Amino acid sequence: MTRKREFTNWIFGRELRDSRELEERPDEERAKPYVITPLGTRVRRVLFCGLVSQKNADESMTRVTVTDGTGNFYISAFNSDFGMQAKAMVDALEINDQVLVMGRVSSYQNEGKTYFNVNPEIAIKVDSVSMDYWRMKTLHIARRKIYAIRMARNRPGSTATDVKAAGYSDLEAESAMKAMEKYPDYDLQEFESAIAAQIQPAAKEEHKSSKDFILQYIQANDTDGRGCRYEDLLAASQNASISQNELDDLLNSLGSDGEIFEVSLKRYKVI
Amino acid sequence: MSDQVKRLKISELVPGTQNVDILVSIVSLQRKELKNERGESVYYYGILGDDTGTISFTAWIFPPTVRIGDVVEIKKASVREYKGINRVYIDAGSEVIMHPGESMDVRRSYSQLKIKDLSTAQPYVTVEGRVSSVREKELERDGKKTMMYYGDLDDDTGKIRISSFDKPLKEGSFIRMEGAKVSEYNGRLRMTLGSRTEVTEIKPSFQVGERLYDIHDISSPLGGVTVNGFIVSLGPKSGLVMRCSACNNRLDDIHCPDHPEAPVAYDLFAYFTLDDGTGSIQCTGGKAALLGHLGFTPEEYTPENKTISRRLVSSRLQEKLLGRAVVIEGDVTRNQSGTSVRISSLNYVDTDFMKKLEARMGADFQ
Repeated sequence: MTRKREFTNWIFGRELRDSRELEERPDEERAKPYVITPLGTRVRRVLFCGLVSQKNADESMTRVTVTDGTGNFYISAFNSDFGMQAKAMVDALEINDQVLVMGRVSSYQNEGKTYFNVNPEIAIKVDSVSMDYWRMKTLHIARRKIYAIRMARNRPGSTATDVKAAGYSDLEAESAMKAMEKYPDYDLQEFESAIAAQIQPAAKEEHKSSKDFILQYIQANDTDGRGCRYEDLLAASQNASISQNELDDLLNSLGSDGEIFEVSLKRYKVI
Repeated sequence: MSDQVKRLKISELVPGTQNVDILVSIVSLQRKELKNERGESVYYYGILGDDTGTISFTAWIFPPTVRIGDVVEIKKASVREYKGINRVYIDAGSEVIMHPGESMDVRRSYSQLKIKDLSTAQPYVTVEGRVSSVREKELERDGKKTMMYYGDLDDDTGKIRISSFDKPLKEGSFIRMEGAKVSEYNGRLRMTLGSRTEVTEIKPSFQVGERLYDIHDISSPLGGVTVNGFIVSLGPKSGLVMRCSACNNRLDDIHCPDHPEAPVAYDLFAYFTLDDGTGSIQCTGGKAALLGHLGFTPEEYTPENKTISRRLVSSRLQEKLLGRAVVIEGDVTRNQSGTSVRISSLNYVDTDFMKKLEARMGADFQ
């Protein structure tokens, strides 16, 4: 009997970053748990595009950070029997490369926080059209899930059947039910604005200026409490058509105005 | 729920009806064996008819001597809707009584379906579409010469192979076929125009164009679909294929065992997984769809060209396909290992395609 291929979730870094819930798989021996995201997505395998913002490599392991403008994906490729090909792919990537990555998510906990790591199956440089294509489709997938959750929230007692009857797929309906159960108070409006701001030129224009964009990004991406990292900011700025020089000028100007401060080297916080 | 048995005509059957008693003629009948973890079982399915219409049925208990055209009385059946189609269910509590020697006029009634909704579960239907790629063949049936016409039928949802005995098909015409038969052959659906099929030329109410599908929505062996996504894996046996120029058989050696003198011809085969975020599907493609992307012309892609090697073709396939966002057109086929697309063309996603996709996706939220 052929084994069913594990579903590949096209999701934004922000959706994974905001995830707090895991679902064990007792029926499968030694299987790593699924991650349940705030949109109810049941994640094991992910596919995403972004810019390489950080890379550390040695013989046994290569770590790469990829930012899609909404959040980061942390990738670790090991020099094991099964991972050599993937490590070679990751080794070939350089900082600021535009990449497509598909891989399996594993999670670990530290000081009460859940962190996610992606073990890559493929990691390949792509062009800008592929990046835009992924963003557009991933936004569409996320939006459909958001609308399904909103529908379920607005009609208390809704079941997956009710959501399906409104035109959503089985998977979207199940995701909506999971999201209702696991993340009843998640701010969908804020999430939708955050991802749309990175994706759509029209939404980008809604930022009164590049300054607002930088301030908002620093505020939203201080993920470990030690300040937003310059590399992430740079990648997000480039996605938003802000050059590195412009970014440096804006950071200086925001610092002089007392709106941000550099907590430590290349780490920023909003005051 | 009432236990009272109701004698009804087929036109009166509605989903949810229990304890139905009907007198019908068997219009079509199929037997299917089922094997699962609980063991082996047999069920029958087909179409029942009377003077008011036809309806599909599934029977878990059925006399094996019943044949097409027989008249039978079915007692204590139930009617339910399955996949949008009303169906009579005959189970252990039902009775099937044969009426030997009787015959019955059946009023043929066919549901009108789009090509994407066709399935062998509803074998007689009405379909509208545009005829293309018409060819003809002379056949001998029972010692009599007969013409077979075959081609493709397209509507706005898909494409299907059609064949017609004696009734010519006109290239480019839009037709309505009432009572055409749907069957599955080699993993693909096809339609046959029989002696009872009525064919009329129509003014189309649809446009034949690109039929863009999410992979999630592909469930039947539908022809002429367009899907898009990233190629996320490439089969390790994809690459250069050698064929005998005389018999076209695939060669493991450089000589064909049957035609050792015939020159070798180069072919190409690739299989890969396409993922669009709604699901993934296996795709297979050959020289016609892929060679141009590898940077070879058909004239260059020959055994005489010593720069071409298996290694070079494999590495070009990796470079040009893996991780690329593509739009493919092709026909969906279904076999034991699942559903796959045999591609007829492959193009990289470009800004024009993105605009089209954006408009289509935007419609979801209007």
